[in-house]
Parts: sequence; C-alpha cells; structure tokens
Amino acid sequence: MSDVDPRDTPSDSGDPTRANWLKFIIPSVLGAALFLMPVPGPETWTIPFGVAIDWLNANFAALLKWTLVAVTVTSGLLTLWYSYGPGTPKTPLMVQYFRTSAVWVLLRCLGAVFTVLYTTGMGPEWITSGATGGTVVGSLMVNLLALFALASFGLPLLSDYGFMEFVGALLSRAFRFLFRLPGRSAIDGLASWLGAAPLGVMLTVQQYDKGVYTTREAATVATTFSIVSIPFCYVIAKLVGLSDVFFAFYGCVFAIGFVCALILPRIPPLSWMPSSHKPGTSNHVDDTVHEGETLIQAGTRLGLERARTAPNFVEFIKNGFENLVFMWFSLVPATVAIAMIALIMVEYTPVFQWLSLPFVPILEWAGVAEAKAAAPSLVVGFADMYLPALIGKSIESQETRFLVAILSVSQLIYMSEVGAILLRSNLGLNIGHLAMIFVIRTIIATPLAIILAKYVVF
Amino acid sequence: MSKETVLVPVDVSSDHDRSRMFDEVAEHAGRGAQVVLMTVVPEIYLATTVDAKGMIKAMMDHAAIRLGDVATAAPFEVADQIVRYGPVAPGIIDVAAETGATLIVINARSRDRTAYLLGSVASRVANHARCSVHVVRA
Repeated sequence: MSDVDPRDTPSDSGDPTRANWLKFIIPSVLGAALFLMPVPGPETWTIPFGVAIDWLNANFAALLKWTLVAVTVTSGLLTLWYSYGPGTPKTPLMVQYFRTSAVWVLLRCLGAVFTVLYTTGMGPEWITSGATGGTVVGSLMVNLLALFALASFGLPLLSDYGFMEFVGALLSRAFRFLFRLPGRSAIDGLASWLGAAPLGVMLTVQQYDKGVYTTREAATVATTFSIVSIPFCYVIAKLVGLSDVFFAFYGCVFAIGFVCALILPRIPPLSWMPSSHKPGTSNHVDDTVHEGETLIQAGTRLGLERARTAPNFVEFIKNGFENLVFMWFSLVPATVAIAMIALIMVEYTPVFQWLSLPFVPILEWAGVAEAKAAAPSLVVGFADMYLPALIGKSIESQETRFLVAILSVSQLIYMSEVGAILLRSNLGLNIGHLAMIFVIRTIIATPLAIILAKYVVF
Repeated sequence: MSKETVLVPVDVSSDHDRSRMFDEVAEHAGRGAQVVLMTVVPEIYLATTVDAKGMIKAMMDHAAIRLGDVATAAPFEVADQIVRYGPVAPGIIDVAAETGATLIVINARSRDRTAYLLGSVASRVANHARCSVHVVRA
C-alpha cells in the first residue's frame, strides 16, 4: 500500500483539491488522445496508438522478433523449472507468473518450441509456412508484443483515472432508457471498451455481489457489453489487413454491438434469467447520478473520486511494468501455442471444414466471396477471439476479411477468456446459455456485417 | 498439545451440496480442531486483459465474498479464510503446509472421464499432500 499524498486527498470542505483535478484531467486527456483521437496515418485516418504500433513494427521488427524468442524460451524454461522442477518461486508474483498447471506448462513450452522453429527456419513446413508460423509468430505475436508494451502503460490512463466514470455517467441515462439497465451499467460496459472485456465482466460481478444488479441485469451487462477493447480491435484489423479502414471497422463493430444490445436482453436465454437480486443483498439504489445532479456534474464527481484513489506516478509505472511482465511471460507463449495449433488444424486437417460445412451454403447464398474459407470463422470464435481473424487473414476478398474481422470482435463470448470467467462468476449462466448467446450474436452480426461491408465501407 | 488444524478447500464457483463434507468437518471442530476454509481461483487465460494484476485481484475478491458466504452457512466455526490464485491442487498443498494443517477434508465431485485421464483435484491432493487427506464423496 502506498502512502497517500495529502495533496491528493479532498480538502476539509470535501471539495476536490487542485492535485485531484490534475490527477483526473491529465491522464484522462492523455489516454483519450492516445486511443480515441483520429490522426492522419500514412494512407488514412488512424489513432496515435495505431501509429505507435506501426512505428515499432517498422523500426524494430528484428528486435521484436528476437524479443519474442527470448520471452517464450525464458517463460517455457522458468515455468518448467518452477512448476515441475526443483525451483521454488520466491515472491507471490513469481508464483503467479511461473507456477502453473500441466496444461499451461505444456502450452508455454510448445509456444517456445514453435517460436524458435519458425524464427530460425529450422522447423518443418507445417510450422514455418506463411499460413501457420508466418501468421502467428511473424504477424500476430509481434503486433501483440508491441501492443502489450504500449497498452499496459496506456490503457490505465483511460480506465484508472476517472475517464471511464466520467463518460459512463454521461451515458447512464441512455443505458437506462435504451437497454432498461441501471445507469451504473454504462460504466461497467465502458470498462470493457476502454480496459478489457474480462475487467468489465468482473466489475459487473462486483456490482451484482453488492446488490446493484439483478441476476438478469448482471448477466445482460456481462454478456452484451463485454466489448473487445480498442487496442485489440486495432490488432485484429491490422492482422486481416484492414487497418486503413479502422474507423469504419470500429464504427461497424459499435453499430452491430448496439443492435445486439437492443435485441439480446429481450429474448432467451437472458430473458429467462431471474429478476431477483443476489440472496442476502437488498435492492441497492443505483447512485451513479445523484438527485438534482446533471450528468456532467455526476461524471465529474465520479471521475474525481476515482482519480483520488488511483495509483500515483510511481505506482502507475510499477503496475504497468508488472502487468507487462505478466502478459509477456504468461500469455504470449500460450497464445503462440494455441494459435499455432488452431492454424495447423485449419491448414492440415479437415476438422474446421467439417465443423463449418453447414454454413458454406448460407454464406454463398448471401453472396460472400470465398465462403468456404470464411465459414469456419462463424464457429471458431466460440473457442477464442483471435481465431476467426487468424483463419481469415489469407482470404483475398477485402469484404470477406471485413466480415471475419467483425465476427472476431462481435461474437464476444469466447470460452478461452470471457466465457470461462462468466461460468465462474455465479451469475447463473451455464455453457448452454453462453452457446445460445454466441449463436444469436453470430446470426445478428453476420448479415449486418455483410450489408455494411457491401454498401457502406467498400 | 497443539490444536489440530483442519484445512477445508471448497470450490466457490458453483452452488453444490457440501453437507456430507461439512458434517465430517463439524465432527472434527466438535473435538476442538480449528477449521481453515480455503478456495483457489484457477488460473485463467487472460488473453485480452492488459491489467492482469487488477483482474486477478478482482477474481480473488469475488472468490473471497463467495467463501465468506460458504463460511457463514457452515455448521462450524471458521478460524481463517484463505483465497489463492493458480493451479488448484498445488495451491491447496501449499496452504496446508503454510497453516500446519494436520488434515485436509476435501470433496470429490467429478466422476467424468477427464478425471480418469488427468486425475481429479482430490486425487492429486491425496497423492501429494504431506498431511492426511480425507476425501468425501459428494
């Protein structure tokens, strides 16, 4: 726990101090500028975050490539040493990073092996080909490495210093009116958009535990507004070669998400969920906007409150660094392994073709070019968010790649992360509910994405 | 003579019948044993989470609330409640060693095929813990 700077605490009168205002405004403005401000790119408009990722990739490609090798190999060896070898982690962080179960040990070691074999060119063709290693190690992971480095320091500017609460309060009445949800849900939804989908889910669960949401409201917020965050959307767009239409892409993701949010809470399975609060909690009054307050006043109050307890500069750097180390050493190697296994199955086995066989005629009927190549993306997104985009990367038709990228980030329920958290969160959602929500979202998103691609974007 | 410590790991991610296990624990508590209730938040693939540290804390906080609910409903006095994050069986074994537990009482619930292939948490704890393990079939 850090010492609290007296300048950061409210004055005796309860009014926020100058330091509190600065702590709210400076990081929020910086975060908004980094992730939300349109800037001219080499070909079209982009965001400064995208410019930074492209700059890192353009100028430090070799460094990123060998950093990836170092990260995956170090992670594989340390995980093996501390999980199954004689090593004992000395700190709680080391336990969290490197002591893990057999499945994750295997995935991290496989990730290291795949990365080394691809980078050195020593591996067989099914690892070094452009469709497998080239896509995962050569493109996705190098981008993710840069994304994690920038986002672990950049995203907290939006999520930890009051910006999320400020915008959430402004949207609270719209959420109540449009989606019949407590105003607080706007803040939890924004946590997904500006932070990460799992973070939005956990914030929703916390509000459910307090009695702010009923079971149905919590399930609705967690499954409908757990939107893929902006930086990851940028990486997906870049992966499928659509970064030059990023704003149109993100606008379509937003529009499709909005339509899904209007429909899903009104139909099963969400409409089946009980409208009762968690046992033992009373109906907590949603105090996002106080009586007599304007939305701007409420947003400013909530933003200042959040900024007051937010990490100071030293903690901000420390947290960012610790999160970066966690993501690089825990997630990156496992992501290499999962993505490589999926793409090897796509390229060298007929499994995904069998799975997606029923969807090919539907996509062909809808006039989707290369329907056979795009069809797997309709189903594989249930396993992991990256998979549809990875599969669709090699599709030649720009419109079809657009469809695949939209599905990648609009289906929302992927079992590798959000789905697993939802199942554990005691909101009454089971795997059947999640599968139904995934299918309904896909049914809504697919025709909308096809229409938007054909008539609006291209 | 030091007090016997009974470690009781519970899975708080679902509501299920713990009555047989808790009856067993209540018997030990009735004989003067102190009961430590614990849960492990299994590691998760946080592929799009930039604030992994904050996310893990949020999951552990939620588990702590659920563990508190379980403790309140338990038919015995709970001396301590512990939440860990990571691989489940090693987490239980670590806490048993740290708390000096003389006995672990654990539910065995899964009878599916994966348990035959990979082993259940209960079987791994029974195989590797340094203290006695009482596996209660739920």
